[in-house]
Amino acid sequence: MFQDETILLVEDNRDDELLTLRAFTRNRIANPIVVVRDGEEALDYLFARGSYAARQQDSFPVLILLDLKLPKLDGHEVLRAIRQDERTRLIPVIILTTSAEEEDIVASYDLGANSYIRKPVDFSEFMEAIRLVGTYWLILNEQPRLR
Amino acid sequence: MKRRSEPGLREQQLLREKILGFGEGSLRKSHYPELRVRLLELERFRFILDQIDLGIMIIGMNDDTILDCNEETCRLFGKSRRDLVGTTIESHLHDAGWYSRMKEAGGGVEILASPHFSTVSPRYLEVALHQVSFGGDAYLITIVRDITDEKAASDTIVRTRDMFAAAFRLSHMPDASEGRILTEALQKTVLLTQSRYGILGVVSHDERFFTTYRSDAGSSSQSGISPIGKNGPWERIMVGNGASIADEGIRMDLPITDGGSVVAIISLFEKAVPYDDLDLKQAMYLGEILWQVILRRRAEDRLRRLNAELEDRVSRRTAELAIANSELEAFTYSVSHDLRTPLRSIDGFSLALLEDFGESLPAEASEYLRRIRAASQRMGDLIEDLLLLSRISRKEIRRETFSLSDLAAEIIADISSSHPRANVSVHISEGMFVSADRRMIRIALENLLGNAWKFTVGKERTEISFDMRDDGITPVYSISDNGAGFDMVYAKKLFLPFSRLHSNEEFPGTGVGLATVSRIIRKHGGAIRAEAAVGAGATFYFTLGTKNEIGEEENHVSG
Repeated sequence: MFQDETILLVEDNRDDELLTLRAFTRNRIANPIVVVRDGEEALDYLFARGSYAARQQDSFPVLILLDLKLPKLDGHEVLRAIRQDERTRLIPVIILTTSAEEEDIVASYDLGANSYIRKPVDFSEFMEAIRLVGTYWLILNEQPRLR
Repeated sequence: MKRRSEPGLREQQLLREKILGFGEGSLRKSHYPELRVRLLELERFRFILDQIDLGIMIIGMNDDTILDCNEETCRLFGKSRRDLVGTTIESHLHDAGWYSRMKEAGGGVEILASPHFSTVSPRYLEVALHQVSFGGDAYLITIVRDITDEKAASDTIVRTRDMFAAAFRLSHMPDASEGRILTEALQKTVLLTQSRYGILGVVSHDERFFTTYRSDAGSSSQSGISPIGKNGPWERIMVGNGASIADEGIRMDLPITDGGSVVAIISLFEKAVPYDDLDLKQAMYLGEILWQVILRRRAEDRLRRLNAELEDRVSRRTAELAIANSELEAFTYSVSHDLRTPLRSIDGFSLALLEDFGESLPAEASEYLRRIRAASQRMGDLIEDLLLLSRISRKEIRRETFSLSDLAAEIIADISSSHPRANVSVHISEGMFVSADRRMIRIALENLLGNAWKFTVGKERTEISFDMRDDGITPVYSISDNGAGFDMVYAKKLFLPFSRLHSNEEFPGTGVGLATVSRIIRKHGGAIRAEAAVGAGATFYFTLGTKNEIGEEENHVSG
């Protein structure tokens, strides 16, 4: 079991996906990014099942960017599943969403989110947020080596 | 025989000596006037005895013969003196038990109801027996007092007391049903009038049937429903026959009326003696009390039903409101999330265009893209402010005590670091403590102080002050500036969402800030108003509820 350099982006909105990828590119974050479109697909990818059954089973992303409002399983449910599984419970999960509702923020931290970032309307601000995420979680932050 | 004749003989002798001594024997005329005086005295004494309303008899101890009696005795026995004197007392009594009892005891007092005496009408008599002896012989003197009227008077008192007790009991049955009250009233009436049984009929609203109750002194029950026909005794009462005693005193009918029409009828039956006026009056009185109690009970029931309905309506309405509220929450959540997403795309791709193709775009196109970005960002701000406004409307206030002065100082520090400016003078009164929702008050102050900062832009010197005036009941806070001010004509529009008194170019803003402030203040039970003049600055006055109100709410929240 090892950690690859992949960032898993769980995002159902194509525009947001494109803009997020753009923000990563422009901030020179070179990690491979896997995009999944709903909660179920996210868990399928992580646990190598369904359409991702062929994926190498013991490889996990270095960072998960998770939207809350998702088709099928919502972000909170995905987060719960991640935190409940021995293999994935230590992966940093950053909630990246439009909602600034107190309930959503509290629920996310309750379920073990590492960070909660609200997507601003102003794309310049969004770019700045992504830059900080990359700097902090991919460069500064020390994580336990996974077995 | 000897015993009987001996005293008789002696008596005669004595009498003879008396008469001879003063009359014939002496032959002295001088005794004659003396005799006349004695005779007159005797007659006078007899007259007095006859005038007394006590029956007095002298009875021979040995043979029980009535030796003499007065007029009242004759009246009590309904016989003449001739019929009585010389006969035995027993021959005039239905029951001579009392006589032998008292004779044996050597005297006594007893109260007897007729028919111990064979008097004409039923009477109550107090009989006293005394043993006396004179001239060496023993006699019994009976004194009979007619206490019928006295007894009637004391009975009336007792029955009146019982009636009031019954009336009191009737009007103090707070949790009893109408049926319980009716049966209780009937039973009380039966007992009070010493009837054997009674029937109560309550007329239905449509006057088509009686709901009937029956009581046999001991027990009462609802006995059924009977249709109102044409010729029964109750029907005759229904058409206005009034209260009456019928069937030679063994039946009494009492209508209970309300506003001129008969609403119920009580019939009472078979008292040991015929019903009298007192029975009628008392039963009528109880009937009236009963109806008052019933009316009160009905009014209470109506009120209780109305209350229950009201509570039901309130809880239904509350449930509806809760649903509406949760729908609204879902809506605002949706607005917050879904409306902003496309805005982000608009802004994001406009920026992408500028960044990736900016050099090949004509200057005008770049300008348009910048306008697109500015508009989408402004719409983002609008959505943001609207969301804040709706969130504040939904939120319960949680009061805590904190320093308004410190909070205002923090906010001013934030503003001056994000929008630095020279020549600023800010005065904040010390020690303004409030009991309020800190997070909400922060939002309100951020808006008010932010406005003061915003509208003083371009002034040579910015002057902002935050003060308090306390009349002991309601502290009034004021935030004033020396900025652009506004025309008081538009003061009413100030606190409405999206109403702006300045153009966006002049002073940027969404027009939601003061609406939010006003809502926060109102949620605290306070009020806000503004005073201003164009170019001469503005002052906002606000309260956060009276000290009393705040105290109560605080208790409420903590409890």
